[in-house]
Amino acid sequence: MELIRRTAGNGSVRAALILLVFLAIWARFQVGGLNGSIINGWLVLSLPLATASIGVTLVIITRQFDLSAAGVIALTNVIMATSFKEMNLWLVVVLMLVLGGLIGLTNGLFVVFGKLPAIAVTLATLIILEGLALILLIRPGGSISPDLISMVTGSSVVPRPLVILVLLVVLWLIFKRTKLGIFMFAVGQDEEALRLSGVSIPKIRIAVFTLAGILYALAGVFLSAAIQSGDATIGEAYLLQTFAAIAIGGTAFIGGSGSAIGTIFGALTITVIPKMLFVVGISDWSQRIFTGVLIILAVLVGAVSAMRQRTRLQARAGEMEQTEAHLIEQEGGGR
Amino acid sequence: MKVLEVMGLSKFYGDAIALNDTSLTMNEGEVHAIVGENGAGKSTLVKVLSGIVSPDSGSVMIAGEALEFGQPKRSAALGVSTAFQELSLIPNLTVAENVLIADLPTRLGVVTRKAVEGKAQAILLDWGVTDIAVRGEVAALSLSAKQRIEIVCALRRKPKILILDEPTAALPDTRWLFEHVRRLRDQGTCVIYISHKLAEIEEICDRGTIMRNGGVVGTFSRDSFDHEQIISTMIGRSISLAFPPRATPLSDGAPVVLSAKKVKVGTQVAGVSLEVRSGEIVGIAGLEGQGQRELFYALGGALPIASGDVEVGGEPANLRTPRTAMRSGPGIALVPEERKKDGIFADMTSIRNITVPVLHKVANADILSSRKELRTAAKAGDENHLPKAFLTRNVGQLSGGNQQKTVLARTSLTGAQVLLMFDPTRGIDPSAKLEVYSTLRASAEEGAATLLYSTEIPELLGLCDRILVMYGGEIVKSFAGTEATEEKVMAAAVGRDVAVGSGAGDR
Repeated sequence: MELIRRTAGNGSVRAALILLVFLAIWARFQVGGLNGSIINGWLVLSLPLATASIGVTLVIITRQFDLSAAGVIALTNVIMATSFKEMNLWLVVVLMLVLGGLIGLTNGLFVVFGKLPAIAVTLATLIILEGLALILLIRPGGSISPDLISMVTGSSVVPRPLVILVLLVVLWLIFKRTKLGIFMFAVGQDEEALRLSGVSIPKIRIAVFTLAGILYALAGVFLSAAIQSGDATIGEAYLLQTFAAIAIGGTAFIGGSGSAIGTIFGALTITVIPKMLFVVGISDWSQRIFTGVLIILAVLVGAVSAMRQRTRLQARAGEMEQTEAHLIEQEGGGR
Repeated sequence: MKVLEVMGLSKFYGDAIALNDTSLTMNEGEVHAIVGENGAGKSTLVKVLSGIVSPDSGSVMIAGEALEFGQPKRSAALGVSTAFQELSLIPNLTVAENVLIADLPTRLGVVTRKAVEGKAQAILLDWGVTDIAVRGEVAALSLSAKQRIEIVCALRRKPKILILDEPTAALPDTRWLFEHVRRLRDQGTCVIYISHKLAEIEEICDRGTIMRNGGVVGTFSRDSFDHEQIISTMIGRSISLAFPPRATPLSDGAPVVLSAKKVKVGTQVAGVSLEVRSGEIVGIAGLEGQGQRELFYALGGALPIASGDVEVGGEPANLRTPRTAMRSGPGIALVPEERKKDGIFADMTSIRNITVPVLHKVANADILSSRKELRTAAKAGDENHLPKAFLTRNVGQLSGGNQQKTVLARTSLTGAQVLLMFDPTRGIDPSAKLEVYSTLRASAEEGAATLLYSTEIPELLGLCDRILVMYGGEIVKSFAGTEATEEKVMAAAVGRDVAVGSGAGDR
């Protein structure tokens, strides 16, 4: 348990517990129980949300905001549904990721060198991208490569989306230990101290926005496979759901801490809530209330836990101070 | 061999002068002290050399190369390395990660814990730090441990120029530091040693530069070290200001309005007791960061008090928020430190800035009356020497002096009888200062109990009935207004009276 806490963070453990409870309720009341295909359907639905939310998590850890995820998702979805039908699938995917990266890079450049508030820049990006998506595909339609669909949604032995999620977790654990990963947390904790240490802040911020853009595009690819067509307005739901997933996942919105693992659990929770409530017979409209209350509770518990953590660290610092004072006294007496 | 040449460096923040045509040179292999009062320009000089701040004019040569300003990396590349007073450590990273932050070792792009910890451990051992675990988070370290890590981060680069900005502020034992400072000096490093503690400077420094008002006003060397002379040069012969005299002497029977007993705030204020009587102005003197800010903010309800009792007008004060402080007994009002940040609403008019705490009094049945508001603001503004023409202007456009008069007018409107004035004349012009003095005097004559902090000792001498000197979060000395002199106050503020007891044991 301690190992999980250390690698995944307290917030992740809490999010996992919430998820387990909801899953248990869902399994208990689902007529005929949960089978592989029901689970797979749920995971397919969760994958794009989880991926996009990880992107937003990175930005939030650096103490910034990014609203553009929904826009990138919509744009990549309609492009995949309408264009490049003749091209190699992998190439198309790489192209989408490059597109997402460029959008993130633009966000980062405006925020860092334009010194503009991220919330305004990325809101503008969101609106522009959604507009572009609507121009490309005014009514839902188009088609998605069957190869992609089976690649993302298949479930031969293990559900494919689960494999992808595990892969994302592994990448996250590695990324956390890269320089960029360490600086990402540091810049969110104390930008000035990091700057005084001689680390270039603009590079970090721009790199993180870019990385987030790539993840949004990846989410768009996954979403395309999940809905198997194009829909310029499908991204809209993601604007708020990403933040809900992050909150439940235990990442603090003040930056400096957070975990993609918690965010994945948060995303899975967000998508399991309607299913769980449906099987216990709670109407569609109450679901939002339930989700809202859950978010408040998660944030509240997260804040309390962060406070306790701070107190613990301060107490340890205090103990150290007392030991030192004691040592000095002893030495002073000896001389 | 000259290693540092500073030529004609100037830096202004608005109308405030931080550096004024400063020039100095330093040599290889020397420990060079920089001393001066608060605001003398030491910190700005450090920030310019470290690449944090760009000066408005002037140039810096380091070992014959011109320094490109405003980029910490450029400074580091030329061999400048700084242990900052405010510490540049990231709390939630480990000690090891902090030590190596600027050049983390990677394998295939990944920073392995083992490699970082091994390398950091070796560095700490090299610099004689054996009692700090490299795996622990910095947030769990004591202040002095953090300070040592900060210093090691600077030492380990074996820099051409090592800047230590108040390195012993939180370091009770100087032997460790001095051992390694000497080691670097003997290898040719120029160590810039900034400290208020003259005993330390005498022990470790070869030469020194005295700064005042952003410029160099004197130098000294180890052979010609003279405490008294250094202190008097630091203070300088300030332009004598006409302080408004007390019209009626403070009566012995004046009641105590503010009484604090053993007040502790965080780690900065370590048990302060004081009393201020009606009509009395009590001055707080002290070097920056001795807890005076925390004391004022806590008494004003803006920072939580850890322990201790505060009474106002004989009743326990409720200092939970500034609002409850204002409503406690005869009322406590705080004029905060940073006018621009904490004191004014820059984009509102002077009128609204003045009336903001008393809006309910300038309203008819809860609807604001512009006429009443103007009348109230004009009266308060007038009492505080704020020219009428400025009332309708946005406060952000006014000079520092008129901004401060606006803040004082607001404070007087609250009717609070306890006034906590935190450096009310910082960065304002001399004539505005005089007007602030007469306002302070006038409200005291009307019975207000004033606690005044000022970085300028002459101000305290001219205005205060008593002066308390803070050092290390405690009041270490108390002077009656008549017996205090600049030299005495300064000597207490640099901890000389205290240092004799504790610091002298090091030698």
